[in-house]
Order: sequence, then C-alpha cells, then structure tokens
Amino acid sequence: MRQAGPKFETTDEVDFVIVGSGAAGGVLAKELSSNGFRVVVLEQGPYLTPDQFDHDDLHVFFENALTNKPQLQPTTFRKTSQDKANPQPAVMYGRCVGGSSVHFTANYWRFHEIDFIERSKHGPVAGTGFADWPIPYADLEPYYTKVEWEVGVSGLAGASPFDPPRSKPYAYPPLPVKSGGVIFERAAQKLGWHPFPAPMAILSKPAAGRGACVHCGYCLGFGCEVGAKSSTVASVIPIAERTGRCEIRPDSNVFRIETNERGRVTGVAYFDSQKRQQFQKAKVVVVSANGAETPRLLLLSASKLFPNGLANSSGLVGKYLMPNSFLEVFGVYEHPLNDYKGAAVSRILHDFYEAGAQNGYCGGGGLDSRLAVTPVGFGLGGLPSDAPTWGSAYKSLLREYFTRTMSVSTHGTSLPVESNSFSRHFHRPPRRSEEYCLFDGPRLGNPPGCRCTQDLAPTRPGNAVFRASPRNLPHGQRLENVGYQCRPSCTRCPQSLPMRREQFCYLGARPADHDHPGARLPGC
Amino acid sequence: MASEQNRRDFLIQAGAGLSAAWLSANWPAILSAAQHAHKAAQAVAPAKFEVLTPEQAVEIDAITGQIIPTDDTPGARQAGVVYFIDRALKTFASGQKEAFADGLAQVQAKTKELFPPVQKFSAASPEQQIAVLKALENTPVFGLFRFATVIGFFCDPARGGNRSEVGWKLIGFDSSHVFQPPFGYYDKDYPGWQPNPADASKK
Repeated sequence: MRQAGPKFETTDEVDFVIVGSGAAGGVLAKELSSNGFRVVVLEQGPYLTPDQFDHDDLHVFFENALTNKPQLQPTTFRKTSQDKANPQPAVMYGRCVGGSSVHFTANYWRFHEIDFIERSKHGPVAGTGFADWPIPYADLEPYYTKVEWEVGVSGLAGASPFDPPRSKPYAYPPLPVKSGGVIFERAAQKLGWHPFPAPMAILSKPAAGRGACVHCGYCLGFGCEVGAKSSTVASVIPIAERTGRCEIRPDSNVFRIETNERGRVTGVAYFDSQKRQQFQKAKVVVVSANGAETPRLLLLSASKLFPNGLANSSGLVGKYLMPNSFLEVFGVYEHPLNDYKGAAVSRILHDFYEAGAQNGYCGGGGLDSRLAVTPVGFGLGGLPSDAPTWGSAYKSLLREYFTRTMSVSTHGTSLPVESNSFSRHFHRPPRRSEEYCLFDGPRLGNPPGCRCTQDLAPTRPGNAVFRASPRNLPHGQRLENVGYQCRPSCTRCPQSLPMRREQFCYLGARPADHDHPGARLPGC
Repeated sequence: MASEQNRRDFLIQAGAGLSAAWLSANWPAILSAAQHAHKAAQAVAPAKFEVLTPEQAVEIDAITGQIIPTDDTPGARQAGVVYFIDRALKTFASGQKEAFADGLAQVQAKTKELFPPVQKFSAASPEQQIAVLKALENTPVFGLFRFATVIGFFCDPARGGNRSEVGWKLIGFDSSHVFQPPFGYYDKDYPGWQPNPADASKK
C-alpha cells in the first residue's frame, strides 16, 4: 500500500529536512512538497503500513510496537529538583511514520477563541508563565478548516453553542453514538448542559482510498488497519510522496542539527537503520519531533556559537511544558452498553471550557463520554479499586462489568509552569544518540485516573467537576446533581501501564438524576 | 493462500445481517479487518514447554488456576495461561525468567510455612492454595503472577493464551472487530442528536 517517493542522496542539499513525521511533520511534508520544494522527512521509527497494524495488546503496549522504547531510550524522572532523578519511563509518543497521530485517540475539537487571549481576559496567575498567543483564533481558522478537510474529520458543525466560528462544516458526518454517549447526553441535557457529537479525526465514510470506520474499538494506542483514523500516514504523507519531491526516510534517528560559522543550519546528523552515522544536507531544518524530542534535539545541537543549544537564547527550551490533565470516572449499568466497540468518544460537552476566577481556578476543559479499553486492559485495571483482584469473585465481576461499563472523562491542560521541564541529564555517559534525560517537575501526561494536581500549579477545571469538594464545582452544581461520586484518593501512581486506573466512580449516584432507572449504585 | 477460504467464511459471518450496500461500500475495510481477525483466531498450542521445567509448569498452572479459577466457566487452565507464560519467557519477557523462578520459590516457601508438611503449591488442597495466595496478596510476587495470568487469559490468542477465546467469551467481548450500530442497549432507539430541549423552550 505504501507509495514509494523519491530517494535523495545525503550529499544532495535538499530544500527542507523535516525531523519527525507526525501531526506537524506530516502536514508540512505535504504542504512543502506540493509547493515545489524538495523534502526529506527523517523518522526515527519504522514505516508501518495498515496491514502491519494489529489488535495485539502485547505488541502495542508491552513491546512498544508503535511507540518509543524505554529500554533503548531511557529517561529519568523526578517530581522536584530536590529529588533524585531515577530511571523511569517518563514520556510516551508515537515512534513510526505518522508519529503519535498513528496511535492517538483521534479527538479533534478545535481550540476556542478564549484559548488565545486567556491571559489578557483573566489576568496573571501566580507561579505560572500564563500568556496570550501571539495570534488570535481568527488567524488560524482557515487552517483549521483546511486540516479538517484534508486529513478527514467527522463531526456536526453548530451542534455546540460554545464552538468557535467556523468557515465550513465538518468534512464528514459524525460517527455513530455509543450507549455511553446516549446516557451521557440525556443526563447532561437534563442538567442544562450542551452535549454534542464528538469531533473525531476518523472517517465516517470511505474517501480517498481510505476505508470508513468499522467501529472495531481499537483506536487508543493502536494503528488503524482500515485507514479510517486520520493519521498523517493515512492521509497527507501519501500525497507528499506522490508529488515525487518528498522522501520519507524511516529508521533514522537524528541526534544533531549542524550549523556553520555564520550560524546557519547545514543539515542534520543521524543514525540510519544500520546504526551508521549519516549526514543529510539541507537548506532548512524543521524540528517537529514532539514535546520531548524537539527540545532534546535543540539542546543536543549546542555549538560554540550556540552554547545553550539551538533556538535557546531565551533559555526556555524544554521548559513550561503543558501536559494534558485527565481524569476518568466509571459507571456500571444494568444492560450491556458494549462501549468497547466504536471510536473511543462519541459525546462531549464544553459547558465548562471557559471558567473564570469566580470558580476558584482559571482555564477550562471538556467532559466526554468515552471508553477505550481492551479485555487485557479491563482485566488488569477495569474494576473498582476495592474490587477483588483474583479468584471467582473477580472473575464474575469482570463478566458482569465489561460490557456494562462506561466512563466520563475530563480533558483539560495544566497551566505553564517553568519547572515542568525537560533537560539533559549527565549522570551517565551518552550511548550514541540515546541519552538519559531528566524530567524535572510533575510527571508529563498523568495517566488516566491518576492526578497529582497538588503538585501542579492551578489546573484547568474540567477536572474539578469531579472533585469531591463541592466548592470546586462549577455553576453551583452539587456533586449529587452532577450525578458522579468520586473517591478522590490517588494511592498509587501507575508507572508504565497506560490503562491502569485508580479511581472508580459510579455514574448515577442517584438514579433519579438520570433517565435510566437501571443505573446501579454499588459502593457509593 | 490456505487461509483464503477461512477468510471468506469470516466475511460471510461478519456480513450476516448487514446490508449489501453497506458491505460493498466498506469492502476494503472489512477485508483488512478480516485478515486481522483470522490471524487472531489461530490459537497456537505448543507441544511442550520451552522454558519452564515440567515441575515449574505444574506449579504455575496451579497458581494461575487459583487467580482465575475454573468454576461454571473456563478459567486460566482452559485458556492455557501456563503455555502463554512459557512462551512469554522464551520471547518478549525473557528477562523475567529469574523473577518467575524466585516467585515460585516464594510461593513454595509460604506453602511450607503455612501448611507443613506440604512441599509444593500444587500438592496443597484448594483451600490451602487460596490461603497461601491470600497471604502473599500484597507482595510483588503475587503481582507478577496475577499480571501474567490476566494477560494470558485475555490476550490475542495468537500469543498462546486465551485459547478458543475463553477469556473474551467470559466477559462478552465480541472478537469480530467489525461492528455496526446499535452497539448496546442504550443506543438502540436513539432518535438522533437534538439540541438541548431546555434551550428551545427558553426561546
């Protein structure tokens, strides 16, 4: 299925070298090559085609088939600069052509206007580098539309009253609702909220040689075998290759951007698939290698002219990282939902997207109904934390809960804090291009259900809807009315399992709050 | 291709109840998913253990058989979890051989401590076995066996566990990988998305 692009010699000075083939690099490759430039994309991972994707948890989650390999690319982590930095997997990102767009969940809502001007609207937040964007939403709108139509996004324009203005509807109709989405929608509407079909970068209809979603349910963490998920490898990279001006070079691990005596880039040094050192000449180098690898590469490219690394006269490279905050609560219902089927998210609401200081926090977030769980993941961590973990009782709970479980998730971001950072770590000598790195600050990307917000600066309050303390609830909603109850304790921080969850809550704490008399009330 | 016939059978099964128009529109996608499903359905039954000694295998079989027991439905034994573990130790978990050997030693030591003169976990009565595992419940060794058992019970059958998809069948996971709505009970009669009726009445 792979479209073969051209091959460039490393000594041939191409117009652009792009480091990383993910959401940013893939789109740039298509734009630049379509506009006549000669482009080489260097991707550290393999070039996988849809027939190489599978539904094997072990392959994907334990053998890191699509992601960075902690044993080959070690990192260390510490929570504060006083702590000792211990070797520990600290980041996870897509490591294959298409990057993280291959394994992501495919949520694809746009930023709102407020995101770009939040600082001037709400004022400073102590301890953060909270700032406006240099451009407003309106400047980006045409590009949002272009991307939505070119990669393929399904959704229903105008369905959310909080959506920013858009010049065109979505490219494809929304994906079908799931049972969890129906429950979520009815409950939320009853509370006066505004649930709408989730915008997803997944084709709801076949197009451009790509299949429509077959609702297999294997989005989060997996590659899409039918090409329905709008990763760059399914959407724009084939277009780039067809121009005859773009070479995708997989298995190429870039470790340095070279500059000349005038301070201009000359190309990039990398290790090829045979671990041989190579140098690709280029007029321009684009670094689109994700939040961890981009700063690392810039720091690794220090020279006499640039002693602190490239693009780092500010000293801010690798600092103020803004991880995604995430909290998930679970509900169990009387009848089977089978929410393991279908794209992860089917309904979402943005009623709490913009929240001012009157709520006791700044920023906002979304709430959505989602389930993206495989049998292995459910067996390991799908039951309440106080449920039996083995024996006949465990087995019968699994049998009862798997098809009847749904979750409501919050997605917000944390505010920019300088100590949420990435730096190089010299405790051990570098192993070729692989080095120890240090994440100084709260962990990046809290795993589902595990929040360590007390360590973070003010967080965005999508989360707060679920906080046990009523004073944090938006719009005077009491927990009982929201219909969620939550055990807020975070007893363990999962280190490596992406699917372990520590908090289990029950939707429908009061059945009267819902349309579903079958909502059950164990525990709470 | 020998599997071609099976793939067709799968497609016919997968297509049951779907409209011809839907099928033709989604044909390439289904073909692709079918290839996967076929691969997954090929459970591999190893003739013998490659890493575990027969004695270790009996012990592990007994331990995993208590973690996911056989009752009115199949458990870890029927899923072939011990074979899955053997294969894992030969392949992607080869670095964990010692951890498993140490773990077995700890389980045996606990068995001897609680129920002398029983020497082996597999020789203890079911009640004794449960008591031994309860005593170890919060230790890393139990975590290791539990982790391996759950994965072996629910994994892709091509990995040597979850034989005949017994794990998937237990929890009601449908492995056909191609679905059409409605998916469950609550989306059966969904009328389609409407704006919040409360807003409409305000206007």
